[in-house]
Amino acid sequence: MELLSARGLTKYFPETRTLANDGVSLSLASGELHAIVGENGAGKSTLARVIAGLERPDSGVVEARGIRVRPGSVRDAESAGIGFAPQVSLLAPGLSVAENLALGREPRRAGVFLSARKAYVEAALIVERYGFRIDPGALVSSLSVAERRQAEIARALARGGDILILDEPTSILSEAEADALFDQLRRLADAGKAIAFITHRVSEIMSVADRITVLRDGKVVESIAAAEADERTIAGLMTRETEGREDPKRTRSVGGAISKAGSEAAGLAIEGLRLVPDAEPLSLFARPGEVLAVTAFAGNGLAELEAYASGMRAPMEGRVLIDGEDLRLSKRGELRADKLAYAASDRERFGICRSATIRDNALALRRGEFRDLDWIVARRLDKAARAMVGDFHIEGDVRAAASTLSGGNRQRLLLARELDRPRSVVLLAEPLQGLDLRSRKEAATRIRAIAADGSAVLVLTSSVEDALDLADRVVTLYRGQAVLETEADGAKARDLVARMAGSLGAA
Amino acid sequence: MTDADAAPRSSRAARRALALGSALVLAALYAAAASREPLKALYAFFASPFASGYAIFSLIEKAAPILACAAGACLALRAGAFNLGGEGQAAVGALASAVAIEAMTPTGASPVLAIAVALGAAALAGAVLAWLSAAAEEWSGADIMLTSFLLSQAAIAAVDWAVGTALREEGSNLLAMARVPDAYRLPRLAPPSSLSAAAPASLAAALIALFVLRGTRAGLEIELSGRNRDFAAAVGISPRVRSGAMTASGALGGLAGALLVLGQAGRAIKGMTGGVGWDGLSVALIAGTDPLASVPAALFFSWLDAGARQGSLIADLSPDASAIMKAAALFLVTAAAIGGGAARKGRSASSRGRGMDRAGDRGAAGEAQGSTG
Repeated sequence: MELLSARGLTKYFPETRTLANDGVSLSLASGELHAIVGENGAGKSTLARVIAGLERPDSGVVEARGIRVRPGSVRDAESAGIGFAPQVSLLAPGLSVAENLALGREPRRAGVFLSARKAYVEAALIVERYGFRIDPGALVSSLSVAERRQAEIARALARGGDILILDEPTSILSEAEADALFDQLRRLADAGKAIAFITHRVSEIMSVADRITVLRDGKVVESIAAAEADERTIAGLMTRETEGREDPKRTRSVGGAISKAGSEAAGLAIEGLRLVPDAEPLSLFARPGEVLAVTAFAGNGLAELEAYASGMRAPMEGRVLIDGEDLRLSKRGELRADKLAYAASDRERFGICRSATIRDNALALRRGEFRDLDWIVARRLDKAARAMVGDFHIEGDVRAAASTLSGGNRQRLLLARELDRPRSVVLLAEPLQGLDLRSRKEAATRIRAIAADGSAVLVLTSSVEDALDLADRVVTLYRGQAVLETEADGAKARDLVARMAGSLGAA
Repeated sequence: MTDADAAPRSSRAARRALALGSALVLAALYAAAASREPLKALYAFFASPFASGYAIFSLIEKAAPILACAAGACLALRAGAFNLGGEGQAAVGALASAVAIEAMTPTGASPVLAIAVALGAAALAGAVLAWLSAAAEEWSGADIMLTSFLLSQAAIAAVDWAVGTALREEGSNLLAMARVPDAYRLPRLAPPSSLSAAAPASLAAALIALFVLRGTRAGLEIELSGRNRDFAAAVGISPRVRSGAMTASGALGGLAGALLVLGQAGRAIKGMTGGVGWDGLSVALIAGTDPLASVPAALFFSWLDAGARQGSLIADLSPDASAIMKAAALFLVTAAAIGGGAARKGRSASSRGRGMDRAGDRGAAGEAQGSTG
């Protein structure tokens, strides 16, 4: 029986100018475990949020049990039976599981007083009935990550009912924990619930899901029964296959073959960093003159690698060497000016100071070059900034705040600052984000040029296309471990995505 | 949330002026309503502070320590450190300068040397007090706003005890230390008014703060640290920059205390700082953390004080009127700054740890600390 039917959902975000959902339709039947897969930015989370009433679609209809749900209303979605567990926990850590389940619809005594006992009983019923292994009286802050996930799903059940929408329920779980969670979801489906869950780990869904819907660029490209699909087909559907990269001979799997060089060598050496708990430590090396890309889906250690390699976080074990010098022991100010360029993936937080002028953003690394009088007269500064900005076709007065620039221009401003000159190591996290086609090409040209000038360039990206466009070599991470190293020439996006998704079947 | 920055300077200034004007109108209404002789009260409040050269010079002298504190507050606010300890920093500065003078009086040191030592001791004392907060933040992430306030409260209690008990002048009717010998006081510029070298000294302090902020590399680093700490860390700006600005802010607060002792008061008296630190902070906020704009703002506050004093002498106004007026001015100006931004973008600006109208890149600066350690 069809419990949920979404038709023609379209959602456009004017701020980022992205069409996140473009006429997406989805149908969920009772007893069905439905996986929604796709690359980052494919529109999976937006779809989930639209169905859950957290986003108002520009057009399209959501119906639960044949009754139309008012768009953009969480309350209506919940009363129609749609429960949602987001990627980022909504649980209040200071409250018990039962209290969290009751939040917003608290059972009352005599219509006034909060009844903690009733809340506990209601939570215990859900826990008991669906076999959750959590104590309803336990404080959420005392739960393990896996237990919190269970509580999250129990909350979705308590608030919604028969329809569950789960955004990346397994992204932070270990394999065993994920398996246990899927057992749980299977039991719920067997009890008649309709469950949709988002993931980009293709490997884990094949044996679990009944149906798989693949999203790409905001559209549904395929929706098939899991029994009729295999991993490689799904991975292929997730990516737009680029032409002219067909040379599978040059793709090779690696165990420990990630190139290692002596610690004294020039370039960037990553030695024994543990990116994900329980993962084997990662070592890799970026040589001067080459562009190395590391690519992974969210939750597989890319963010951690960025934090360590940029020196923003000191690793607990292992070390990061720049030209043989331990990042932890070096003076960060000088290092950043002379040896390490770093374009952060979280641009608005680490990459750009929005409220400062374009000039100050552009010159932030060159601040040692100017004398005090320059700052007063400012002509030299403005000139220097204008040169950098003009070079990257950034439209805007250098004395205006960076916040007046569009996202693409801010990204170019960030790249203008960091690619201003060759440095020993150039660390670029999601360097092409927000760029249009022309800027992408320009940025790619510059990144290659700066490598040719002798920089060791490390690109971190969750986009396989970006990795293949920019890099000489590509390493893919899965659960914090390098699972594939390959020359970019001739590598197939589909193979990389398959490995990023945890499949062992590539090449 | 960078609303204010997108607005042209002129419209920001206009909004601020309008708010100050509204504060004056409120002041007039209050003075008229609170008095049985409204005309007399209005005259006393608004005009009598300018009735004579003597009155004007006194008003300027009283503005001097406020301006010194405001210049310091500007530095700290720009760096994103909300220094709530100006009052205590001024108090320890006042005590340090008085002690330095008392120690040097028997040696017969030259006035220039004695005054220089006293000012230096005051700045040092204030700097140390502020540095403690900055260091506590650097080491353990303790909130500067809290620690600066608490340390300041403790310091004020200690200074009151020292001045009123331990170091009190024997045989005096006042809870005060001995008078500063005339030779060691700041030169009087327009006797018989109290106008002294404190006024040009505080103006110099404001100009130096302006130069540092607008004209130096340190100024850029302070600015960027204050606007977005995560960004500052990412481009390799040391957290020491923020500590340094906070410490300098304390030094200027201490200096303000010395200007009181060596200038208008001529001695250290218990409770003598009388809100100068808070006034300085308010002035800095009203001036949008601009040291230069702090000059007229400090004079404005001093005028409100003088008006309230005159109003209570000549008419039947309460001397507390100035506190009400200052609060109104601060409220209206900051509301204008924040409200103007909110009206344009349709959301309110976060003002955590910075000047009210230059809300930075994100409110949750604190959350970054865990991940950047």
